[in-house]
Amino acid sequence: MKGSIIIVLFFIAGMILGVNRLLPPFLTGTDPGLYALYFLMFLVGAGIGSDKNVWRILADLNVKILLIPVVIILGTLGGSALSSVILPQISTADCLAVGSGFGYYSLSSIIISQIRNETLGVTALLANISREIFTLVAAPILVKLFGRLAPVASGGSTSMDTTLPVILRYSGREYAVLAVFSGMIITLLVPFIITTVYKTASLFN
Amino acid sequence: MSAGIVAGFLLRGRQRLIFILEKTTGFSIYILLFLLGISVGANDKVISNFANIGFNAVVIALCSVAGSVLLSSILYKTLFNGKKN
Repeated sequence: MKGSIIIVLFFIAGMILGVNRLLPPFLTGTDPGLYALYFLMFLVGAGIGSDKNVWRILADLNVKILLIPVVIILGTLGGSALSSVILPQISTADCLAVGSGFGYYSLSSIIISQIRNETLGVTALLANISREIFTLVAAPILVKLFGRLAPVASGGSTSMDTTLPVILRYSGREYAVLAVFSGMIITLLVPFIITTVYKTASLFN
Repeated sequence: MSAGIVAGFLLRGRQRLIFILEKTTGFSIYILLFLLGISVGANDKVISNFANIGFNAVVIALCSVAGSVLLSSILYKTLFNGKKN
């Protein structure tokens, strides 16, 4: 939670500087952001590669457990496709890409603002923060109405870290283990799913 | 990112390096969001539409959550119900 607040504060600080035009022009172009993103992707990859848990979990895979992230991804994509019906001014591909953040707002908003534009990047930031906050707040209701897997699904990629405490509390320990696994798989896939959405969409245009 | 995974795999077990790596990742996320904030703030189109963007964001978020929760509840009822797994 503290980490999320710091991240949002950095974003707001940048925004205030940008609104007031307090910056040298070289910082507002796309290039520094793009190279910083490549660097970040390298670091994210290194973090995954060096994590012993990832390899251990991948080693003793169980088909039934693997179904959890698959179902969460499919459900999220279905739901975001539906949201483009409610929001006709946003294209289906854009809705799918924003939904494909799965709560991983820092990375998804940066990737989307590079691929598309800043407006959609901010949409992704706010949508994925909302997903995290919703999961934190609604976890007990979700368990009651939709079963103990529901907060894991709602948490998406955040079920391995920020929303894990509420999952542990309301779904129980054995589901917390599944949450870490599912959150890891989804977190890993976020960049690939977002770029795949746009690659697939470009085939139809 | 693939290059990073390979690099990370080779670094396994070197706790100190991995610790630095995690710190750097967190820090570069801060920098990137700071940069995104800057370009968003300098973009009048985004600033003047902020409420609208927020509304769109919440709709997309709720729809994605609803989709994944509904599918997961089907999975829960068919494969997980009552079992400790």
